[in-house]
Amino acid sequence: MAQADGQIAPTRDEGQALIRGERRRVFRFKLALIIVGLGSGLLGALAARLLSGRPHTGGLQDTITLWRAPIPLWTILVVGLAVAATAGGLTWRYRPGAGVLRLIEVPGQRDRMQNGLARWLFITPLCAVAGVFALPALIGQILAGHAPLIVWVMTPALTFAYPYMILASLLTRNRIGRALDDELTRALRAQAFTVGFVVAMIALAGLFWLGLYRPAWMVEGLPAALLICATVPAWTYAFLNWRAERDG
Amino acid sequence: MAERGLGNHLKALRTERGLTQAELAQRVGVSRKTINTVENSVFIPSTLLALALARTLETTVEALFFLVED
Repeated sequence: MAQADGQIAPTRDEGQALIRGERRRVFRFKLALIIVGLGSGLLGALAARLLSGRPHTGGLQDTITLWRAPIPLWTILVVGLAVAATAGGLTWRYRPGAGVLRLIEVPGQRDRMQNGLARWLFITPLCAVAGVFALPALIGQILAGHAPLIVWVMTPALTFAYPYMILASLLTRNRIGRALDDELTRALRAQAFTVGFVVAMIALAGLFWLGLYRPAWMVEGLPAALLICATVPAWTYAFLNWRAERDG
Repeated sequence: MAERGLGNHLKALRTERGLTQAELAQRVGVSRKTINTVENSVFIPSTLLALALARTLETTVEALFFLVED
């Protein structure tokens, strides 16, 4: 069938023949790998025998006994080298071809961008922990009236930068945002926001009851609540993306 | 009332045509994850995506998807 990109996709019979051919190729490649393993093992055994520390008088003329028959070491060496050479040739002959490499699921640009977003959403909360917990001290300096200029700059940056990084990543509508915005991503985002909403309600209710008991504790708990409310949906999205990538 | 799920023949039809998940995703214009989740019945695609998948695989939506009664 003709495709928009000008390539001709295989017909049904061609597709099945392609799959059969790839299976044969993979089987032969695995067989070659087994032979390589056996040959390597044989050479390893020979090396172990030579390096075992037993006194040798004749070097490769020494013999070992296999099945009650004395076999010179040089015979084993020649056989091992022959097996290794044959296996090496077979491995090269049946190395993964373009067809096999094609069947390995190389992620496209859209997948790479989405995975990059998931990694960003996982890492961002970790980076923000120190900043969020530093905020009360910074604001305390401002309220006390002896804050240096850097505190005036850092405080709004820390206040808005973290939510902005999370929300901008999830809600951006630029060129990259449109590429990220397929319907699976939207569904994962909806699930993540739902989880985040539930957690936010629990956190706010907890803070509310804490405030009734000890108002000062509520204020001290606000940074942690902010962190939880932004981290949970971000990590939920990253987890859902990882699960979809792994096994659907 | 029995609960309905959505089954599909996406993997069978895709492999019959010799396409990988990544290739099908590129032709349809979605991520490979989307194809993966649809194949495993984890994600129910929209009508738009179902039609795009059927058109790309040169089949019908009815041949691609079916209802599963629990």
